[in-house]
Amino acid sequence: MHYFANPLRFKKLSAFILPLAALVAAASLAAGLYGGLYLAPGDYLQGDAFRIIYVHVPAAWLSLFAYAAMAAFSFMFLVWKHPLADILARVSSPIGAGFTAIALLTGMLWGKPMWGTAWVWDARLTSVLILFFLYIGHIVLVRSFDDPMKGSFAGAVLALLGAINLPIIKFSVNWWNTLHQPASISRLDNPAIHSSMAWPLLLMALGYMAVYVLCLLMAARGEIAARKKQITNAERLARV
Amino acid sequence: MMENFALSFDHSAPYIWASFAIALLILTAMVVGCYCYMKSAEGKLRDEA
Repeated sequence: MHYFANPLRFKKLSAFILPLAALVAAASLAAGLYGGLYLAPGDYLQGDAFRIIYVHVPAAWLSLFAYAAMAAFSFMFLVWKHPLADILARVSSPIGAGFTAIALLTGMLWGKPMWGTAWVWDARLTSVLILFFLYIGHIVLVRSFDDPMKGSFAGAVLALLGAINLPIIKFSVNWWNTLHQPASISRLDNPAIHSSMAWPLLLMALGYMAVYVLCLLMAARGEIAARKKQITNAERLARV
Repeated sequence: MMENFALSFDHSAPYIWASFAIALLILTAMVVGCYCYMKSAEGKLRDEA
């Protein structure tokens, strides 16, 4: 990461990755949507409503992944004071909040016809709602200080403390009696989903991951340019 | 082959369409938002240089 801390190097690398990520995102999402809506058979118990998993499950995975990445960037910032890690952590929270919002909203739309209710205060749903509030808290906190470094420090501490929520979300369905079903696809040795239903899900997950990379790199480039402009303005003011 | 097509979904069709619409809307908003932020910030920096 020290190598890519140079803004020019980061810009060059992102210029190479961005079109690639856009292509992967568009192709995977198009193929995943076609497979999920058209090719995958209906579930014998849930009927067609099971198709909602194609937009819900990848969003839930990415909401956890984005937080884990944000916590890792925050750790790098706190330990090595790495400016790029600070920028990546700062721009991660709105992206993660977007994925969490998709997971929550599509989960509610699946719950209504399947459970008869859009929301229950069970361990999985509540812990994901807390994750959403952690993202919102991070977005607000890093922008709440006159000194951006203080905001970054406070945000990094919040991101690391909030990481305790990740295993709680993952294992909530095993630790407590929840209405939400336990993991099905992550049991690679014996997945509880047939391959005809699994491949569109994996394609959608790849597409969501590509969207994450796309958003992260574009937002980071924007943040680097905004900081450069601030420094230029400060230097100009100092000369006057 | 047409029996699987999305238009012939069962009673849960409105929930399915709403889910896909919301997900794609938020994903699009995220990508467009980040793109606009990047272009705007880099454009302002270029204008000042």
